[in-house]
Amino acid sequence: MQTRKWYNKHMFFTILISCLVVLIVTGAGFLNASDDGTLFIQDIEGDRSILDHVIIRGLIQDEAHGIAFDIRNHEVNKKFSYYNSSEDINYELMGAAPIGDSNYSYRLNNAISPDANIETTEKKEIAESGYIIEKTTKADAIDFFVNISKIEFLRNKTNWSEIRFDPGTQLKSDILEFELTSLDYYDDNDRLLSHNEGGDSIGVAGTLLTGGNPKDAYTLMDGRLYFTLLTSPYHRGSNGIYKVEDFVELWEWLSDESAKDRAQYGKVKPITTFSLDEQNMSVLAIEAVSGKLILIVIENDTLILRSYHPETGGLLDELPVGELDHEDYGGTLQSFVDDNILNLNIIKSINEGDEQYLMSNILLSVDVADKLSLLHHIEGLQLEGEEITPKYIDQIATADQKLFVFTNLSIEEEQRGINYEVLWPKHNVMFVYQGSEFLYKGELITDIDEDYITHRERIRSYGGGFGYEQYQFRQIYGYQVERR
Amino acid sequence: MSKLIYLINVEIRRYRWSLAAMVVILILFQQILLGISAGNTNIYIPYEEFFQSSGAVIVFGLAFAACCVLCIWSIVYNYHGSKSIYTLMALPQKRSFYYFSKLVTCLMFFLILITTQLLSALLGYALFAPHIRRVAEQSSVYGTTFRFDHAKNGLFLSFVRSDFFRLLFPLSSKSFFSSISILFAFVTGLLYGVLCERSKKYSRLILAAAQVGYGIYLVNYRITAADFFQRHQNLVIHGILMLLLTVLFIWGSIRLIRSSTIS
Repeated sequence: MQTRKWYNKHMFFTILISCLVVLIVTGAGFLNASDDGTLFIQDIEGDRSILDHVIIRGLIQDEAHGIAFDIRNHEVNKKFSYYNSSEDINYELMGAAPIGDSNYSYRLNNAISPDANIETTEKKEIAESGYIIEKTTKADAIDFFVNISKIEFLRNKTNWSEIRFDPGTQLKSDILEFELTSLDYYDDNDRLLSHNEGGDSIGVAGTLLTGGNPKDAYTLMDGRLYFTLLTSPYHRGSNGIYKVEDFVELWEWLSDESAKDRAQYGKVKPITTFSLDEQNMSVLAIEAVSGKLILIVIENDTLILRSYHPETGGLLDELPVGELDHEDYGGTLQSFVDDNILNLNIIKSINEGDEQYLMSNILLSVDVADKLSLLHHIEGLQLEGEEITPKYIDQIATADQKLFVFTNLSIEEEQRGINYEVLWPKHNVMFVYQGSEFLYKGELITDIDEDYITHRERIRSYGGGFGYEQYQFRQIYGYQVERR
Repeated sequence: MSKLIYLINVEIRRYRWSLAAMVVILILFQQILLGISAGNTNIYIPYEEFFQSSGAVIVFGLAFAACCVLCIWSIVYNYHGSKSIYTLMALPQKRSFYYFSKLVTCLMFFLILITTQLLSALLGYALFAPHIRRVAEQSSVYGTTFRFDHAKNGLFLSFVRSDFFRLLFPLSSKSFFSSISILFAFVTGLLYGVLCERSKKYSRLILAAAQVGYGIYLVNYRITAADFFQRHQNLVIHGILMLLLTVLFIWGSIRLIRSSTIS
């Protein structure tokens, strides 16, 4: 009775304090639980003691939160960040340009060479109203033009500018294998309604065009864009390293009717040029490292790195790395630049017939100073059992005179019944090398895979489609390795 | 101050059974829905998706509506039966105490609602959250054996990822400030609207309605803030605007009470 009387008298404070205690204790519990996720390195092979001398940093994030971590061998520290909006997502670690920076898009266009042998056919098709003229032009030589768009994302507007440049590069064939088609739509009164170009086919030689990612063809140094052409031994004419001095505003070149033809726009300065005639050369990529331009080429079946002065174009040094057949370049080259160190992942893909390819990674670490020095050179990761060679590496970093390679490994058996690559169970694996010697392999054990289980089970149980948002699932970004 | 606390106690005692019923119904109905949903779920689903798809959020919506009705009734009540509003206005105390007792009581309704929702979500996780099938032992004589357990840190992740939980139980100071300012502005706006109606100042209802519109806009932004293409907004500025509206509503309400227009 006494208690009830006391409770009635203090009902407000009793309820208020009870509610606040529940909310505060639970809130504190949640914040405390942010550290409870699994994160440690599990040994697979090699000597773990090499982790005693380094700190491995990274960020696990999805669209709602991020957990920054640092691992000092057995000691793991985590810091939780709650994302109030998508603006809190760390896009920079994922390679996105921050607001105010520019994005570039590199495209190769082609046009029939003026001295080419050509054959033109026209076909008329009756449409629902009017008719269509399909014009096909076959040629034995085409010229290449480089188009680069610069897109500046500012707070309130987007600036778009372009360059179009003729480097004098050509593909020539013995037969009329380059096909260019155009479609002209006319109405019943023979008035031209629209003209569409497209459906270009540049034949067998076209498949050997570059193989590479267009992003490998340009690089930025001190805000200036340098580019090259990813050419194969089948190209003729000239190639080189070029510097964009000035872009032209989009509206300016759009308003010029001759833009579609062979015209050039913007101001481009050749830094250095070289002839492709009589050369057995593939250009794989260009990179800016430590104030120098590094051109990565295969010449006479040797992988070579060349260092150029960005203003004079003078060849500063040349580093032959090892044998690599032109035909074996798999078209994937990733570069990771850390101060004066250039780390590369190059995919070697050996055709074994019947559309079977044996893939392996060539991992290089090069110190770029006045001279180029090869620090580490590994051919093929230390894979076991059904582990599949990863085409892409998450990060290559050097610390404590060792090379740390982070990648996602898939296992063939775990892929069964799942058609979507993103849903394959992945293993975040770290390899450590020194020179060309393997030292250690470990797996970063996390709970990230649990984010995919629902979709994986749905696909396995019910089949059907699958859609997802880019930042829906947790992933590890921005690996860094520092010496302790 | 003791007079104010006395008035608040009186108000809360008056609604204790209604509040108790709301608490029981909210927890019971949500657990029933989660239980039904668990029975129909054959694969693992993260708790936030499971909670959302079970319909438990609708129960919360109904409970929220019930709280709004209680807030309105807490004022309108004094005009019915004994017409105690005349007694209250004649009491030897500041008239603003009358308003603050109502305001604190209404805020308490929502505090109880939010706390109950939290407890219900925790209980639902413990009882019904889907489990992940994990390999316990592989290639034994009896083949592979499995165990079923919760996702690692699944409860924490659901409170971090769910739009609904992010709104009610934000885990950052910015989002917390935003949620609390929306709640304060909503409750003071609701009371201001009722007082305007009582004092027959119907044109001023527009202000209360505008605040509700602004609140819905902000809640919508908070729900979609994680979307990539959502235009970023400053939660602190919105929160300050909401608090300014709160002050405006409190000031307006006290003016209405002091000028005796409500009685």
